[in-house]
Amino acid sequence: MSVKQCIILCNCIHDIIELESKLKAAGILCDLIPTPRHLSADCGMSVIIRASDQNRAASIITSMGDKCKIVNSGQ
Amino acid sequence: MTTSKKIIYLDQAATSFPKASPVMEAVSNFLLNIGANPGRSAHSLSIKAAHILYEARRSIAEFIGASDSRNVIFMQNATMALNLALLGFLKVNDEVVITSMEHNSVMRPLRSLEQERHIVIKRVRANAQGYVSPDEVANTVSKKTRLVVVNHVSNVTGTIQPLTQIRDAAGYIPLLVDAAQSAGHIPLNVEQDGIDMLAFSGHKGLLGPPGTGVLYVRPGFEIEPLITGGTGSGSESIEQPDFMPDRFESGTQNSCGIAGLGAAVRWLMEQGIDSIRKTEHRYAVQLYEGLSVIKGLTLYGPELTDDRLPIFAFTIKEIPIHEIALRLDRDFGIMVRVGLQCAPEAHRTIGTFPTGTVRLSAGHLNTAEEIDYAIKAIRNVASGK
Repeated sequence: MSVKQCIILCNCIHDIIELESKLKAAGILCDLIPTPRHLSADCGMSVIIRASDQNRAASIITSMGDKCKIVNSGQ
Repeated sequence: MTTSKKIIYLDQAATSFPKASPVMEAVSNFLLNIGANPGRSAHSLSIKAAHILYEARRSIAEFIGASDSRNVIFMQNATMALNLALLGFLKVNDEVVITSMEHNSVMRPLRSLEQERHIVIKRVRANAQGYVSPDEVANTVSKKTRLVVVNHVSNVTGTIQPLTQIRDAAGYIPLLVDAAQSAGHIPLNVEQDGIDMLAFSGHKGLLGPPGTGVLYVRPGFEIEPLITGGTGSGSESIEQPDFMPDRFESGTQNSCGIAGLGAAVRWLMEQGIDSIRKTEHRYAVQLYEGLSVIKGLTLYGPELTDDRLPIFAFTIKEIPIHEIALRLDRDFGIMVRVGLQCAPEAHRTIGTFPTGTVRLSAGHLNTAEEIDYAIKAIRNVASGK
């Protein structure tokens, strides 16, 4: 059975790596994946976390200002 | 004819050599094991490359006292950084105040802006030692002044300008600091020092590889990009991104160079900039005391008691400067530079234009023995031996 996941889009690669670093520091499992085409035309990458960590990750994402946002959940 | 196998590199102001070993390891590791383009793809190697750029940017931000590393823009060198700062900020009919110690990396962009955008350039003349008076800066700026530009350390004389006092003298006017010769030698803190834009090389005092440089731009300080294009972000749009650092970093980065630069800055922070400063001051005193007593040799720039870096401009009576450099190289293995060092205005200031001088520039990775050897070699050349 697949684990439900959230995808987080960021402005740029700097913000993605910063978010990844903050999530890892908070003990939240995350990975970097190619940005799904149905979410953004960006040719770069996105951060993926488990949906069960979404609430824990929320304050970290908020701390990034408008640079990062969760665009999809439940998949 | 070469009679010595020694190599004494005293051209550190042109570019530093040797580099610290972690720099070479980082460059080598990137080329051997990573190689990919950061921020373009999402495969494992691209992610590794992105981490390297991120860590380098963070290290540089920490090194210069910038709280947001997004405002550290990677450039190829200080010249490119200064061009972005000047061409990206100054507009038609703007007034800019500069010092008479500026390098051509400031003078030439300003000259082109004078012709194309009709900017007005006002110069603050330094004294014969290359020092700029903060009072003169205060007397020169006007309500029309849109930017003050300061060469922090002269690449000709090693003169260190009183940056804090000049910042105060400039008042509310934005300040661009050319730190090509000070970064890696003198503590820098962009936030404490009230610097709006800081341009520096990665390959000089920072000990990074050639092809690296940085422009720091204060958060909220608006400049226009000179280069636009692909950034790997916002690819659905043909508009240039408005966020940092992508706004100013179109095109593939010099990732292997930046890997080396990041390693260099981390290594410098481990050594401690204060410790580096003390070593280089000791070399400055050693050189001043050794060179100033050589018969027929004229030293230019700061006196012994002045705060300076170990960059020395000199001439020797009746010996052309190119012959001095040739003899130092061929007979003693000592590498120095001659001429105007791309700073004709600085040479006009110290009275050595158009012939120029020999320039000897040491760094903390030189040794006291090398400097002693160089002093003896110059004494031999001066005495005709």
